[in-house]
Amino acid sequence: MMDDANTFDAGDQPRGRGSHEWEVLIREAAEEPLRHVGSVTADDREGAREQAEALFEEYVALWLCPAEAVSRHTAAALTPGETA
Amino acid sequence: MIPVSTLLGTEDDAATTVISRESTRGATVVWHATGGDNLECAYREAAGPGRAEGELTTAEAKGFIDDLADYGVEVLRVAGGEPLLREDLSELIAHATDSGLETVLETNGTLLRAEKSEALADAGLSYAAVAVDGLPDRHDEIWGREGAFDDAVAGIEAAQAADLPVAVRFTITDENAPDMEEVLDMLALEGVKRFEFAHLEYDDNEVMDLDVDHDARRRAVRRVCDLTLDAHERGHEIETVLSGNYADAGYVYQYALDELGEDRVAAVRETLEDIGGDQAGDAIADVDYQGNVHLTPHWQRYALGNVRDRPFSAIWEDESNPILRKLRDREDHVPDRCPDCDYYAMCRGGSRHRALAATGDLWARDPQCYLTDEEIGLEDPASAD
Repeated sequence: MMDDANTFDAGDQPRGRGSHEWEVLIREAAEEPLRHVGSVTADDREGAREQAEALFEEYVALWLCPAEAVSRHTAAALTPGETA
Repeated sequence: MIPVSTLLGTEDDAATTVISRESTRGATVVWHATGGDNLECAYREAAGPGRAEGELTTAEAKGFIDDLADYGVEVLRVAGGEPLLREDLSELIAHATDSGLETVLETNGTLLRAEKSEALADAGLSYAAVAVDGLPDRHDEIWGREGAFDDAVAGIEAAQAADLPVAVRFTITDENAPDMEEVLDMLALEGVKRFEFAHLEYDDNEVMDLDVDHDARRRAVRRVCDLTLDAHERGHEIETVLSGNYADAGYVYQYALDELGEDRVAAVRETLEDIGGDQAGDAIADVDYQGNVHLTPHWQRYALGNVRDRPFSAIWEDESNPILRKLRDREDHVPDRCPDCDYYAMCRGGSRHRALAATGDLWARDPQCYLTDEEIGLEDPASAD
């Protein structure tokens, strides 16, 4: 449950491999939710956009967010090396 | 991978590859255990800036391996960077083999010494695949250090002394293709039985510039077939495989037809179609040292997710991801030339990340497909792209 902080781990490990990692979210149609579809590696915002546009062809919205700007809180059961 | 010696050999040959008869989803996972490297290889992008930048810890790696085993992964190929830089490597290999996974190590061999070889053999490692990319001077140039070849051979000898099986992995570039036979002869004399010939794979333009042209690639694949038959005729029971380009499946089929005759090729086709061509996003997956899950080992610039957020098994099963979904249903998306190709079932349109790197279009033709319209049975070659 979201209100039990003890069952959640805050993730703060680096994700970019010598460059920057950008989380990609797309909305495939106006009535669809914005969905996380992975991440691309790029030096800057424009490079990330170019890569995401080449990969994802059908969407009405494309959002990019630097991976380091995301505050991650994940249930311990989903975190490798932790026991549920 | 295309098991050339199995396809071209006879049932009497001992050195036949045991291959999975069908490609199971997530059967093989390549895990880059570390971002650190002790050599700089010309044809590989640096895996990462160093060891400390977010590598999975020992506990995290074990949790990740447990998930792979529960999911039904069969083979874990541990790569790098240079995986022997991880001090807990044998512990992790033992954890994987105890969990029922077959484990393979991809290494440059230079750090493979007696103590490590014995520990890896005790841990149950199936074999170490040591990169040897040419005769000594050429290999040293590619790996950026004088003496790298000698150190790799010393590593092979140390592994063999510890009864750890060794394969040699030779990645074909524009410079080293002429060295293939001599490298094989030299290392077969050292007792190496398995040779993996890999085409260059990339998702960026710099590595692409090292690639060979179509004629040279065709010659290289023919060399692998010729030297396999030649070695077997001389009684050397070596195992050869080709990897990284499924256009080779069509070529090897044609070679078998010419050299072995029609009686044998039906079985060759059946095996190649069982293997099923390019497996990006399907039977093969890749996880980098920071836990990012990639569609295939050399497609590092896009990740589906990260095992620190969600188990690998859940990421790999989530077909709400449009790219994963399309790769698994690629018949509707591959280039025009592919669906009518005689060899589609054994290739599946080739490498999507090479097409992306070369053209900016994920669904363009694989730049390494060297087969002509006539060879692939297009009725109207003029309609090909």
